[in-house]
Amino acid sequence: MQSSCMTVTNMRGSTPPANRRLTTAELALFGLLGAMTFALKMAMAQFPNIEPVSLMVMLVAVSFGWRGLYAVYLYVFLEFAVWGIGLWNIAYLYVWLALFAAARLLRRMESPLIWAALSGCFGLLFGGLCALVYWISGGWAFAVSWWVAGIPMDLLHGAGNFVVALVLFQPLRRGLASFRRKYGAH
Amino acid sequence: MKKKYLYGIAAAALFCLLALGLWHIWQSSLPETAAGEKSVTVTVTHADGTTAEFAYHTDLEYLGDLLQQEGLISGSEGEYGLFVETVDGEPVDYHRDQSWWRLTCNGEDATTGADAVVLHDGDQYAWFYTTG
Repeated sequence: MQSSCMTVTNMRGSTPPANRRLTTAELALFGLLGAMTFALKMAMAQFPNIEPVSLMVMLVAVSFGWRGLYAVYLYVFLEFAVWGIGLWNIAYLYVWLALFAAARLLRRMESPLIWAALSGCFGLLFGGLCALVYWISGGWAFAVSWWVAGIPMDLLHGAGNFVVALVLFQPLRRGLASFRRKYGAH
Repeated sequence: MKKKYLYGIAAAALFCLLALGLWHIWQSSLPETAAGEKSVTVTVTHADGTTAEFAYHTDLEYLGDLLQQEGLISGSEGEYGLFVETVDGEPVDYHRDQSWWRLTCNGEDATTGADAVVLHDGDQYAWFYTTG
């Protein structure tokens, strides 16, 4: 009974309280999700600016609440560990958090178009968000020129994100809810 | 119509508007090209310090197109445009010895790749074999 109630509320965006201690199952699950996000990104590296990370970040945000940030920042840690920390990826510390927070705000929405639009808009704004780092390191003129030069890549990123989320977000969200119902993972 | 669909359509419209806005910003940022014949010169400074000078008359609009057509440069297309690997028959290999071709336009370092440099009549371009 408890399990089925949890599933219904989870599909509508209710998640465990953030101040509860992390269980061993959660630790393993978030580790798996973070590593899977990194592996999926590597597997799709041949497709320029078409990535699964935005989809994964939105999924963990709506499925696991703020605790899903463990998976997100494990992915960020893996990026830093493998590629090193540079101007091009230091923005990962806040860009994924911005998408995560936006997904939390919209967690009760069920229209696939809304999730596609959120992911797509994030892709379009990705360069602008990352340009904040260049604003701090090289001034606003450098940041703006860097951002504008990358707009074609942002357009590709936005279109890719829109399609990926439109097709996969709701089925995977339901799949994660089903997984939690079956295995009682929080 | 259900609110769900209305919200979805509104969100998709917002995405399209944002994409169009970005496209417009990018288009506006592109430098204006100059039509008609132009005369430009290109100087190449090789690794051994020798120089070679070339003069061209062209109707093309971009330096990269001109120099590739003339066979002076070659390279590979990357995410950020043409990456020049050979100039006047001399190749560079950044991974081996950090060598690369530096481009200047009228004495100042180019701010874009050669394929995005707009040709103007009387322009002077220079390639320098550079390491580090």
